[in-house]
Amino acid sequence: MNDPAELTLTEVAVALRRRTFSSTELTRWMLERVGRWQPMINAFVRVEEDEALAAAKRADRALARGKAKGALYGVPLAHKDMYYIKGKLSECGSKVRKGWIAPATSTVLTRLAAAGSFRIGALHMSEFAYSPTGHNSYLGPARNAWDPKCITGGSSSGSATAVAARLVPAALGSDTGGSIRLPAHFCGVTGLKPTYGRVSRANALPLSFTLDTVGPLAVSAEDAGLIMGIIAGPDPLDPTTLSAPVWNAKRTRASPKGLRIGVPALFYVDDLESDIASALDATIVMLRKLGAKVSKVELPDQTVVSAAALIVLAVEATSAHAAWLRTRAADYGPQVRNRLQNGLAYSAVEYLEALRWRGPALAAHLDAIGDVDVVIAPVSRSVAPTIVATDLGGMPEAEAAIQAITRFMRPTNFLGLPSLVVPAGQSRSGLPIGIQLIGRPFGDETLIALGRAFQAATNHHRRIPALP
Amino acid sequence: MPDDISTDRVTAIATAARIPLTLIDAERIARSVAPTVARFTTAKIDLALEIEPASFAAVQWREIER
Repeated sequence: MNDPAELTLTEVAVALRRRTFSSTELTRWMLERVGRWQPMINAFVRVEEDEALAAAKRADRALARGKAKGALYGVPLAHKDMYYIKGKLSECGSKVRKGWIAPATSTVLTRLAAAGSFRIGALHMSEFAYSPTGHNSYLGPARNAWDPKCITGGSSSGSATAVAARLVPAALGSDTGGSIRLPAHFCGVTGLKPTYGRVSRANALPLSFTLDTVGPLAVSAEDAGLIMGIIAGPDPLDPTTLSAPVWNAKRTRASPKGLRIGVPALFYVDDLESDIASALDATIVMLRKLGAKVSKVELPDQTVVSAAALIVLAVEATSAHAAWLRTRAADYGPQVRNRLQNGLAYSAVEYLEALRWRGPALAAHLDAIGDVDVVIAPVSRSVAPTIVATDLGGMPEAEAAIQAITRFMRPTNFLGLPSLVVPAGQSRSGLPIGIQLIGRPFGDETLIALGRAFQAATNHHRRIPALP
Repeated sequence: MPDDISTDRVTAIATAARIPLTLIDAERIARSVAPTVARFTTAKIDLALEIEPASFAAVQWREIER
């Protein structure tokens, strides 16, 4: 069998259809790889070996009979442990949900199953998706496949490090304040935070109903587009999706020639580590070579947008967890409990002022960027810090540290914009660097097209870490 | 929104929400959220009476018609 670690999700799906290898062979290969990597990176919370092999054998029988349907037929995947499957455990990274059995299946997993994929297990996540580092006092930290001493980023910690180590070719994550994009950056994979309302969140763990989005982490932008083509679109179970446009796969193959790229003059360029600044500059040079038109943009004050995001997130998260905060506060890890309590600082009027401002803030953003299609920005000021340096638990300085890590994330969530993170280089220490491409509302396909063109001209997304 | 958050205020909101909170927690929360509150307050955002949360979707939708 060719080494599946070298393949993208798209290439794996093609190889299965061509019977280059069988789904059973691929699943056994993945399970064996998980066995070798798991002790190093703690990517999985559960491996469902028997069920995965049974699903693979069913897929192989269908493939042999020519009855395989769906873009991901026979492809084994794994997802953040917050996408429910009826009758299955979904502990959402928390002792509070220890042993919890989901009563219904998430729309996104139903759609992925209809496309022919199946699950080989559930992936590590920050407790209740409420931490940007990948620390988890209940599960222990997930570890970065590039250097297990370093954080993965969170909250889609397992999804990012599992894809980086090629334990799976893609995985679902979620992004409320950077939880797809930060892990994609720190772990060197591609991640798409879709436009708010583009992908159903039904029967997935909520954190902040105003800010939550569901999206893929994968090897390539093409892979992210493939998954979006399956999971995006209206769902009666999630009213925010009902008027979203259908996914336009043709637009994901458009040329980047003539696309207008905006480079923020402020905020996103403050205090960057030199390796990050160099990767950003090199990406801009490459986008110019690909035919994009690059110009400076002056965005509205992003610190105010970020503050509004924090207020909305804090209150909605506290509201979602209020019942457990009354009765089971001691079962939360100290950092998440502290953050959930932060929502108690705001009155209803203050929360609603921030929430009502969302529309005007988006209008001001669109006015400021004019006809710019994509704003380019770093994901973080630094590459992945160490687990030890960021293990602040419930210490008083934790909130400020979290806000520093998520600085470049929150405006995009508040404004509901799509953002694609593509691997764009590495630091002198060998750690990955991602760059985010922030689109216009419902401009997800344009981001995929730009990401595809960038990745056709570069090899950053093809780098694979060696087993430590 | 005041540009400062007091411990008394956090305690009062927690009591109204029926969520137990120690005085130490209330002090930590007040300190922790102070920079966010200050940033949002100093922006002096002026919202028209007619703006509601769903106004966001209306702005999003202008993009589809673009």
